[in-house]
Amino acid sequence: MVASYHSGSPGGLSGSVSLLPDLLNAVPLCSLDVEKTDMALVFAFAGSTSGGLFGDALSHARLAPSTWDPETFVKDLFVDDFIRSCFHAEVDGRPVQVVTQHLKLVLAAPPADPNTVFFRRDILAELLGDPTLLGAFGKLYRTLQRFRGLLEGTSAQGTWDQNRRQLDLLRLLHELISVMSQEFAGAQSGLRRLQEFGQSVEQSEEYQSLIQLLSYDERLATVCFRLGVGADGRVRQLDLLSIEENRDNAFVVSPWRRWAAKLELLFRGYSLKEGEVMARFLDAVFEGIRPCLVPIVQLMGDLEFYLGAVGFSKQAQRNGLSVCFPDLGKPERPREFRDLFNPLLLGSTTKPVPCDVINEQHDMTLLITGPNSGGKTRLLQAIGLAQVLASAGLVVPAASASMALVPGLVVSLIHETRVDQTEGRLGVELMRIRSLFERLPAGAVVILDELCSGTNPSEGEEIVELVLRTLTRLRPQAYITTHFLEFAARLERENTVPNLRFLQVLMGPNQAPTYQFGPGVATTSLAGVAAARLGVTGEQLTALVDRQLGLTATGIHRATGTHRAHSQQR
Amino acid sequence: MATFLTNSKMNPRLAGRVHASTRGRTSGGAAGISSATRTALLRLSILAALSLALFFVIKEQRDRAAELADAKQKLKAEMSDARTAFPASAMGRSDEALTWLKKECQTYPGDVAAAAGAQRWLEWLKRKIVYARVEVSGLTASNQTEQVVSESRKDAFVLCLYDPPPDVSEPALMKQVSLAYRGGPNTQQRTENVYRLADAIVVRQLLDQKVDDQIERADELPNVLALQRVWDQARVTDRVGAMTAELLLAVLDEPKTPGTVVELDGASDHWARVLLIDLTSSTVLYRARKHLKTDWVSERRRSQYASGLNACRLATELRQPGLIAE
Repeated sequence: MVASYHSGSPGGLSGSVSLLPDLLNAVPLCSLDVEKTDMALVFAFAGSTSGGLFGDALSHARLAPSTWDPETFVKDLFVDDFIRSCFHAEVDGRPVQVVTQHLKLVLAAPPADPNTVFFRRDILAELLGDPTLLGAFGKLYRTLQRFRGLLEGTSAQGTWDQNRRQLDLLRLLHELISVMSQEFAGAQSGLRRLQEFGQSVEQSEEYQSLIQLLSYDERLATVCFRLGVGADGRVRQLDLLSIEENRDNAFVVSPWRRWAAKLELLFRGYSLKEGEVMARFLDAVFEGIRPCLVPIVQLMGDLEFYLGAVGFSKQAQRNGLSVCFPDLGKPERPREFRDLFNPLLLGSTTKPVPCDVINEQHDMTLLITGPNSGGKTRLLQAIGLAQVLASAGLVVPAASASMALVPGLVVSLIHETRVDQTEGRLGVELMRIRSLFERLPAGAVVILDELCSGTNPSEGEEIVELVLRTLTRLRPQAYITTHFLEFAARLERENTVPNLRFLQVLMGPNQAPTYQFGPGVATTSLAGVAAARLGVTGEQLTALVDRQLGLTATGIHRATGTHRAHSQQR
Repeated sequence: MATFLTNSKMNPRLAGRVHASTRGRTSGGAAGISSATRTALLRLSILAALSLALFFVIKEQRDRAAELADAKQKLKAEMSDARTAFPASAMGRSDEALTWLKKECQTYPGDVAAAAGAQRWLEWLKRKIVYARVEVSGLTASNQTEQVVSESRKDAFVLCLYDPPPDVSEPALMKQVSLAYRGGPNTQQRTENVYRLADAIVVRQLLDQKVDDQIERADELPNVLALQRVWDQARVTDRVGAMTAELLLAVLDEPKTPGTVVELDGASDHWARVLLIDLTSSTVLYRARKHLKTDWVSERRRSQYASGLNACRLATELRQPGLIAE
């Protein structure tokens, strides 16, 4: 069922604009504040400076219902950084500046309706699979960018001519509608809505009036003349062959009527300037076409969403990595990631190392152990981001994946100290656990890094076991890392916690982490190796201390020597 | 309210939006009046005021023009009516009469039909006559002939010519002289065929084409009203009969005989020329030169009535030749 959009303004596009070009939701939805955006558009068209119109509108978009709480994962998963470093929208090979806040809103609120997820997947799949459509998509975005630039006043050049600016805006709008109606004819997915929207606008009287006005501006009359040039290059002959007025145009009238219109406007309180009549026409045409502008503002956010996803896919390919549409099934099915990589590393100097994570079912708890800097946290990030992307209907950073749509995602990776915290580290950790259970819906994905790492291990292990056992009741997809290796080994031996599995970092020769994972519990955290790598062995520290002390002695000696020299001189 | 910005080629919805655009938007909510509307109202008010002022100016001008036209029409109508009272050929007779007077004021050319008898005079007096009595010296010395002639009145000469006394005794003459001096309907009735040459001149001047042109050229009512006043004051309708005159009767007084006295009423010993001209044929019907004296008048009446008595006696002699012994 297609939802109708009514701007509320009187005399809007009469029923012909009932199809929203919403590319984010299976059931079209107007996510912007219509009244506020519409008013901003009116002012912007009238000539007021309105830098940020699109950004403001999209940043405050109200998206489709979602069961996810952004507070539970956005910060810990570095979603902002992911968008900044991985969601690079490109058109014709050139990067474009996107509304980051809107992208963050969309990624942080995956739709609760699975149909919307598959709706988005179909669109992205068609874009990735059809270069022609992708090219049209990019062209549409470029045109929309130019429209935005002119409307917001960021691309103002030269002398300000209000009428000329408004005509240029209408011309760009015409270009936009033309691209939508003509270049998405072959689309099979939700991209069809672009064509439907474009065609519905084209069929409206208001749009036809716009066409007529542009034609009136471009071609009031055609004058044909013959120019004769002599040998000296000067004009010898100028013959007027014909003059043809564009009489069929609704705006073309006789000269006396034009003058009468000017005089009429003079007495209605307007000026007698040449452009005043055109200004009234522009106002009337804009008023008619106005209802289709809010959907176009919303469309910009939709385009950036998919362009960002395409950019992410291309970036992965440039790094020799694969992305894919995950196979979305029920939580009882096996959960697999093959060649899963952490997309946050795409923008860094460290090249991501893909790995496989395979579990016989989704609703289970995976306890991950391994050495420090072995890749555990990066794995958690990769899984978390993969879930975000899959739930948003996008490709995931893996060659193949089998996942399930979940009602929520809770991530706790960052242990930061706040200036106003009233508890010690354990207290903060316990509050973190409390908060986890307060927010965690059944069947959600839980990602916890180094649970209870800030306290006495024996007491911490008790709390971890309590958490593990209690979590199973919510049947989550839980990923928990710990350095309590003996504790983990005991749990593996006893096998008393339902649906608890163990994963460890696989080490290579010389105890170097491979960033691959296998079943089991690690036997060491290789803290010594990490210490040696980071220069924190006994010898290294002793050398550091000696150096500091040596420096101090040299400094005193030098000072003493100087003092004696002064005494001798006296 | 229709607007020139829309036309029949426009879709009605587009026309509606264009119309709405010209009405402007309110600045203070639905109940407010937009600045464009206020400006429009102000301009309309100014235009209305200017139009009203222009209307009144034009109306005033038209009223004045109509008034001017009416005044012209009225005066022209009166002039036209006056012209119908005499044949067109008589228009120039007053000028001709003046020419004759000037001519006759020169060296006396001799008598013509000086012996014309009473019968001849009876026939002549049946015709319409313009009369003037002027001094020869006044006509020869002055270029303002019309002014000199304007001082001439119907005097005892005219009365006695039409109604001569039974004899030329002083009492009998005095009777007619008294009647002439009194004037009034009795005198007018006896001399109804005689008109003052001055009247003919006035009428001639007022009925001249130049006056018509002047009326036509007048672009202001006061100018036309001034002409109307002149016309009214001239009493043309009373004088227009003078234009019907066919004969000129004139008495031209020559200067007094040197060494003689002049009486209080102006009478003196002098020669007078009596002239009767047929203006229709430009012929002299009668010309005679008579000697007028004052010594025959009694002392009692001489100073006051000698002029009148001489005039009456002269006229009586013309009607009854031989009545007075030379």
